[in-house]
This record gives sequence, structure tokens and C-alpha cells, in this order.
Amino acid sequence: MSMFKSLNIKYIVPLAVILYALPLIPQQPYVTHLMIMTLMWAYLATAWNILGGFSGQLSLGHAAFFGIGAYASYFLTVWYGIPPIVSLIVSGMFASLISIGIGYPCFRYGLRGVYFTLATIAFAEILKDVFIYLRDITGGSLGIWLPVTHEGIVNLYFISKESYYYVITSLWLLLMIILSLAGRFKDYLIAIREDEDVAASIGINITRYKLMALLISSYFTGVGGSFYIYYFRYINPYTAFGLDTSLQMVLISVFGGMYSLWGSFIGSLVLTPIGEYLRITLGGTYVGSHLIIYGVLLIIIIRFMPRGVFGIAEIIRSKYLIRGG
Amino acid sequence: MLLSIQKVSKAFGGLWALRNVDLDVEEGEVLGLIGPNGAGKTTLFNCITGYYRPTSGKIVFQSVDIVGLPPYKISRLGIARTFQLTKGFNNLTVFDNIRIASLVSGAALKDVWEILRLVGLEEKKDVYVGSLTLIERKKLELARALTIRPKLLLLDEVMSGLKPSEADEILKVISDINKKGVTVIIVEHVMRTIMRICKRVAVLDYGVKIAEGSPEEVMRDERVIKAYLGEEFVA
Repeated sequence: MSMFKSLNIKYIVPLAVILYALPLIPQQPYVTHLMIMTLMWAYLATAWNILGGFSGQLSLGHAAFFGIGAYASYFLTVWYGIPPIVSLIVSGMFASLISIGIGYPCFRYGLRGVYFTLATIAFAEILKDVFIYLRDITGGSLGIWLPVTHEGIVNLYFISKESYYYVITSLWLLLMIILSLAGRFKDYLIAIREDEDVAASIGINITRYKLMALLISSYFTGVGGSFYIYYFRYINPYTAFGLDTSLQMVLISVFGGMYSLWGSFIGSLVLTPIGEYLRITLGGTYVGSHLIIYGVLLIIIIRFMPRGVFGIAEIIRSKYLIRGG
Repeated sequence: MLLSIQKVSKAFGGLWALRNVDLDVEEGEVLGLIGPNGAGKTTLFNCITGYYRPTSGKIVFQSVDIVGLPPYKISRLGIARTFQLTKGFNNLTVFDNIRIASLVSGAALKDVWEILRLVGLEEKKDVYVGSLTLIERKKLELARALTIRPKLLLLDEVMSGLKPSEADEILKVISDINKKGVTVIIVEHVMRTIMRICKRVAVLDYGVKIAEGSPEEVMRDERVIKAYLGEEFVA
């Protein structure tokens, strides 16, 4: 019937079964790593898409929330001895808290479009510089390492990569289920994206819903950053707050189709393995060349299918629907 | 009295788009608001619906002063509006446009269908709004305004750019809406359409209300003729 009705929980259940069953097939650790990265970027892009895709507020600074999540996890674990599984959940709240710093002034005083986007870039860059500068606290540009600890879910420390795969898959599925159930909230955000004046005319409190989108989006992005540090056990300000990290979420979401909940997953399914492969094969010899190929791909996508990969399916379906009456 | 506009002025820099406008709207009526281009009709609508804040004056709706309230709150009080340059959720279907618009007021799915039927967009429900024709977009404006179950409906040139037969179609819808007890203010600069549906008309010119009364009275008014046709046509 309508494009947003199709994003139903009934698609998530069979997909969950497949995703959880995948590690049962014996595979090289590298393939497992690739699967973890695919799910992690699918998760991060889905989180970005709440603000960028649904509410249409183009953030190019989501690394800020990713980085805060990662560093908050480090501090909570190493300084306060809080179990990592708890930190994983709490770290997102720090990201949300930080996001108010940019969201309130922008949304309350009507910083729209390009100006909002520029503000988000600046926000992440400032955080990066602050974390590089405060060396005594943050470890500076060298970054931080998580110490080795006891294996297990409480410490989010595993010898086998499969366990990390299960964690990130669960996080992504949880996010998808939450978003599938939050239909009305999503509809309000879409209304705001499509036309703010119209959204206001039908009684939607624009400022409030934009802020909520930002808080929720940054929360889940922060949790993603937290997962990142528990998986890699290391992070530095360049990865944590870098423009590359922000762009990656945007590219995947736009490539897959930012108007749909599934777009980020499809985008990551295509782009993450290509990106990793190019990085390994070309990255060493021709530094940065994988980014060029990435960029060209993105230009092609935006030129020929502005609704992303997922959009094509929608177009075919809507044509069929109209013909079929 | 449903709405009372009291000495409302709106200045943009040094330009007065509205100057001391007084206007009362009775419950259940269809009031026409006319005037040449740039007379301040849309500005007045924007002031009533909260998109602009009047420079001075009061706007009282059901004995509440609504000046300073944001658009979404005014909408929730029961004042709906359409946009002169039609707007909509272009990447969504007609059905989704009206469904989402209905969410805030908590209208049921059957209300959505009823509204689509009332404005005659039932058969276009699966069409993306970006590919609608002008008359269909005007109908969508009407439909969306209806979703908030308005007590007062502000229509900003819903018939401009339409063929006479299409305008008649819209006129019929408006009169159906009015019969259901919705008070309507119509902005138009086409006299013909206004004469057919409004018992009372107010005329704006350069931000000042220059006349008010029945369409016949207003049409005979010297200042109105001057505003529309120029000095030399005044008998």
C-alpha cells in the first residue's frame, strides 16, 4: 500500500534467523571480521538515518557521537570499573547529552539546511581537537588501549570473533525492531523532512521532534562507538571524531536509500565489503585510492538513483501497483 | 464571535504589510478576503496562523489571544490553513500525506478515507504527491487542512490557476465543508468565485482594510473600484 508500511517486523524475524545462523558455517577469521564490520556500519548508518534520513537534518558530524561513545566507554571501564556491558548502554547517554550542545541552539533558533550541516562538521572537529589537546586525560593523538580482561559477555571481551558478531548483530536487530515499532514518531520526522511549514500546520512541534530525533540518533551512534572500542580495544581521536567516520555513515545510508529503514543495511552489505577489499588490495600501495572508487560509486548512485538501491525496488513496486490498480 | 482581529499591524523593516486591520469572523460564515496583489492577504493569514508575529495588535480566537503562539499550537486550537503555493510531502503518496497529517489529531483511518472522498482524491491515493496536477494539489491542500478537524479554515487562493470548471469543483467542496459547520475565510483576487460563495467580504489594499460588507456593497464601493481598476473608473 504505502512505502513505509512495508517496513514491517515480519521481515526482521527471518533475517535475524539467517544472520544468527551465519557463523555456523566455518569460515576464516577475516571473513568474520568482514561480517562484523558490515553489521557495525549497517548499525551506525541506521542510527545516523534517524536524523539524516527520516527527519532530513543532514549531519556530517556524527563521528562526534561515535567518538564520545567510544571514549566514555573507556573512561567508565578503566577509571570507574563499570562492567563494559553496562558501559555499552550508558555510553550512548553521554553522546545524547553532548548532542544537546549542538541540537538545542540549531533547532531552537532555526539553523537550517547547509548551516546545520556545517555546524555538525565543526562540532566533531572541535571535539577531535579537544581530545588531541587534553593528552593527560584522553591519551592525546596516540589514542587509548583497553587492557586485557576476563573473557565473557560482561566484559565484552572474547577470543573468538563470532561472539562480537553476535553482539553487533543483536544491537542492529534491536535498533531495527525499535524503529519498526516507532511508526508514528518516524512519520512525524518524515513530515518535518518533507516540509517544515506543512508539518507545523498540522500541529507537529518541529523543534521538539527534531531534538528527539537527534537525541535518539546520537544515543545509538554512541553505543556503536562503544562497540567499536570493545571490539578493536583501541581508538584515537582521528578515527573517533574524524570526518571519514561521519562520511561513512552518510555514504552507506544514502547509497542504500535514506528514505527507508532497510537502506542502511543494504548499503552496508554492498559498500563495506567493497571498501574493506579495496583498502586491503589498494590501500597499501595507493593510499586513499579506495576512497576515490567510493566517491565515484556515490556520484553514480546519486545521479541515477537518488532514492538509493532500495529506492529502485520501491519504484518498480509502485509502478506495478498503479498498473494493477 | 469565533475570531477577532484587533488593530493588527505587521511591518517588514520599513514596509507596512498590514496596518491597523480590524476584522471579526462569525461562527459558521464564509468570509471573503480580497484585494489586489500585495495587499497583505497572505500576510494576514500568516499572522493568524503564527507563521508571522504581528508587530502590534491582538488576534483573539475563541476568547484566547493567540498572538505569539507557534504555528503548531495554533493548529491544535483548530485553525487550519492551506498554502498559496501548494506544498506537500512530495516523496510520499497522497494517502500517506493525509494519513500522517491525521496522526496529530488522532483521526482514525476511516476519517482519512472520508476526507479523501470529500475532496475527490480517493482514486489518486497511491500517487506520489510530486506528480499531482495543480487541481489535485489544491485538493490535497484542502484535505490536509481538514485532517486537524478545524473550527476555522483559512484558504489561500485555492482556486487560482484553475480552469472555471475546476474552480467550480473546488467551490463545491468548500461549500460542503462549510455545511459541516466549519467557518471559512477565503483569500482570492478573483471576484467571480468570491461572489458566489461569500455573504460577506472584506477588502484589503496596501495593508489597510478599505471596505467590508456584502459582495454587492463592496463592488459598488468607490475605494474598492479605485484599488482594483484605478482612479479613472470611479463614477
